[in-house]
Parts: sequence; structure tokens; C-alpha cells
Amino acid sequence: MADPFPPAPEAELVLALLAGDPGALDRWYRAEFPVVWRLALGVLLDAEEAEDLAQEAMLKLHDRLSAWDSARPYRPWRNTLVLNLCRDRLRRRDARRRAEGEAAERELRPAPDPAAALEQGETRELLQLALAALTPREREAFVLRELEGCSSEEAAAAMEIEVGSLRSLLTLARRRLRAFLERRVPELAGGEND
Amino acid sequence: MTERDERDRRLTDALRSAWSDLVPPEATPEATDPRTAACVAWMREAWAQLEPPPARVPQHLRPGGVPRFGPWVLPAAAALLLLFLVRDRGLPPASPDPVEELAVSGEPPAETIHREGDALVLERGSVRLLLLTPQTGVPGAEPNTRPETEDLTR
Repeated sequence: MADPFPPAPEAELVLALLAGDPGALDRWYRAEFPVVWRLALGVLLDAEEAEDLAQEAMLKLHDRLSAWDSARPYRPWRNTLVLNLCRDRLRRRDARRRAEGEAAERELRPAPDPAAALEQGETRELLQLALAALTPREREAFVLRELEGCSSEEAAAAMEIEVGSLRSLLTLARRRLRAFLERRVPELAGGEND
Repeated sequence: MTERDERDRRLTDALRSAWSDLVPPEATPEATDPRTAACVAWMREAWAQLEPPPARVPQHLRPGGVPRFGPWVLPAAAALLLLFLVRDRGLPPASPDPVEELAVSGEPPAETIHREGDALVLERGSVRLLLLTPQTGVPGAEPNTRPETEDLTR
């Protein structure tokens, strides 16, 4: 049976950083930033906001590295911190949108057209639209487990839920994604006439 | 306990044991149907194409870097500066201390130029001051309960 919490190379970098290795900071930052940014993008669905949050998260992670218990898996610890920041950001964004009025929001940012996005080859746009079809919790579960390749145990630990709950979220997420993508991506619509 | 109760208990135990032995299947993409797996694969491919922005280590994280200020420091400093500016502009310029002004003016001290009976005349620069002690018995005058005027120049 696969190790539910496989050893993470990032953890080695953290230990080197904490031990005062002079080159470890750069190595750790460059290894972690893309992961943190992708996770933020997957939850927030906004590239600029994801970059901003990733920088904030990296600073917070750096500040708190000494509090990480090296006997515990590193990835869930890191992912929990990033997810919590993302949730805070989503709450603030929702509150701001409510305050500004949904009508004004729609006027400023018209909903993107999935068909047009696909025609223009904007895979990233379509990816974000597909993830937007999920609830925030489903998105977190799908990004961690399916896109970032965490084990079920790692993803559940990061989200601070049971593995069974994670599996339920994943099932719902896959179902929704299939319904969304099969209608918009021709190469995936082959089974429609089955 | 009757024989029927005993049979029910054994049956319940067997069912409970079988229930606890159930292992839920791992819901991996491989376990899902091919069409769903294809959708997940498409998502993974799109995910792998994401290009993260360049990772630049903030200078203040490096040893000896400039310390990082919290997000509240700059607004607080600006507010403080504004407060000082408004306060300085709102108040008239501070007047110099009169005692200090006298001390640095270089003018001579008050001088007794005339004394007669209960009258004393002091002069300092262009100012001349006449001091009189009220006399008892004068209508409207209060009795003099204060000590006699002293010669301030002594």
C-alpha cells in the first residue's frame, strides 16, 4: 500500500533552511512559490489575486517555518496555511461584492464565454471556468487530490476533513466537471451520443 | 435470555462484524468511468500548462535585509505626519516667553526715581510706574492690610 504521507523533498529544503544553509532560502522559495501560486489560483480563480496571495503566503510560511513540527508531514501543513489564506480572501471578496452590488460587478466584469475561450485556445481560461463550476470545497479537494497529486490522506489533512468526506467531494467535483467539459470541449464530447 | 434472543444476538454480531469488514473502494480516476477519467485527464493537462509568475525572493527575507514593515506602518506614518502638519498650520506661531524676552532684551532693570510718603515711582526704559499705598479713612478705600511696599531695587 502506498505511503499516505510520502516524504516531500520540500521538507528537506525547510530543514536545510532552518539549519542555516545559506542557499536554502532561494531553493525553498523557488520550489514552493509555483505550488503555492497554483493552489491559490485553483481556489481563487484569479491570476493576479493568486500572485498576490502567493507572495503573502510565502512570507507567512517563512515566518512560521520554525513552528512546523518536522515529525509531521510538511505538505498538509503548508497547504492548510495556504487554504486558510484563500478562504479569508474569498470571504472578503464576497463581502466586497455584496457591498458593491452584484449588478455593478456584472457590468464591470462580463462573464467569459467558454466557447470563445476555447476557440482562442485559452486553455487556462477554460480551466478556470471549469473549476468555477465547482463549490469552493469541491475545488479545494479536486485541486489538491487530482491536480496537485496529493494523496487522499494528505488532501484530507490539508482541508482538515475526513478522508471519506474528501472522497464525496471528489465524486461530486468529477461529476460537475464532466457535465461542464463535455458540453464545451469537442474532444471530450465523443460519448454524448452513447 | 430465551433461545430466540440468543439467536438474534448472534445474528446482530455477525452483521456488525461483516459491516466493519467492508472497505470502501478508493475513488481514484482509474476507478471512475472512462469519460470522467478523460475529463480529469484534460484538466490535469491544462493544469500542467499553467505558467506561474517568476518567484522572486523578497530582499527582507535574506540575512541582513531591510526589515519588513507591516501593512499598517506606512498609513500610520502618513497619518502622523498629516497630524503634525495640520497642527502646526492651525496654531499661531508660539510667542516667546516674556520672562526670557526680558532677560535677553538687555534693557536696564526698574529704577526707583522718586519716593515720598506712601508714593513710589519706578521707571524702566520708557515706562514709569507710580505706586500708592491706600490711606485708611479715605471713602471707598480698603484698609491697608498688606505690608509696606518694599524698595524692589534693593
